[in-house]
Amino acid sequence: MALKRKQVDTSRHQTKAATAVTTVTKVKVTRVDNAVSIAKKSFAGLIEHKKKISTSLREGKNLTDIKGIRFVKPF
Amino acid sequence: MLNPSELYPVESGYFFYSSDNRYFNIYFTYYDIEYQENEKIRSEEYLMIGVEQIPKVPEIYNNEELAGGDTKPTEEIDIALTTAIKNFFATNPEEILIYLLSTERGKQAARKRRFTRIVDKLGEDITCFNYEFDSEYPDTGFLVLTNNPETDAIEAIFDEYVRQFI
Repeated sequence: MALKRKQVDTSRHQTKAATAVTTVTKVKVTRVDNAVSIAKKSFAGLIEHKKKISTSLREGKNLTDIKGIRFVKPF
Repeated sequence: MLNPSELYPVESGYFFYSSDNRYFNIYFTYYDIEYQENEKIRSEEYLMIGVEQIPKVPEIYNNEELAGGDTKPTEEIDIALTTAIKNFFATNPEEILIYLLSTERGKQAARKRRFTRIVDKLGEDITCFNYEFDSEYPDTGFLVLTNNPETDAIEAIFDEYVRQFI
C-alpha cells in the first residue's frame, strides 16, 4: 500500500533578518504485512522509551532515578 | 508565588502546573532512531521532548503558594509545552526535536487537535513535520520540530524512516 502524503499547509513569512519557512506536512502510514524492519523496531522502542518514563514519573520517581535512559537539561 | 503554565526549572527539566491542580514535568531525552539506507543501518540520535503528569509539586517548590489561573487547563498545558519548545530552540540553534504523543485507542482526534494547537502557537520560525500512523500503531503520531534551515534534508531523513514502516 502506498504512503499517503499530504501537504496540509505551507506558508512563507518574510522577516527583517531572513525568510523563515513554516511547513506542516502530514504523512500517514499504513502497515500491510508482518515483516519487522529495523525502522519499525526502532519506533516501537521509542514508544516503549516514552512509556517507561511515563510510568516512572506518574509513580513519583525522579528522572535521575530512571535507569538506562539519558536525559538532558537544555537550558 | 507560582503561576499556572509558567515553567519552573527542576533537576529533570521543567515543572509546571495547571489551575485544575494537576502537576507536570517536561523532560528532554535522547533516543537513537535506526533505519536501513543503501543496505547499511543508519542510526541517528535525536532529542525527544515529553510532558508527563506527576503526583506532587517538586520538593524545592513545596513552600510556594500556587496561584489560580484565568485560562482553561488545556490551554495552560499547551502554553507550557510551546514555551519549553521555544526555550529549547532559543538555546539550541539548528536542532531537531521529536514530540511523540501516543494516546489511548480512539483518541486520535484529540492528539491531532493538540498537534495543531502546538504548531499554531510555535509560529513561523519553527518548522514542523507531522507523521501519523494507523494499523500497527493505531493511536500514535509524532511531530518533528526544527529551527535548522536544512528542512528539506531533515524531512528526507524522516520520510525515509517512516517509509520503512509500510
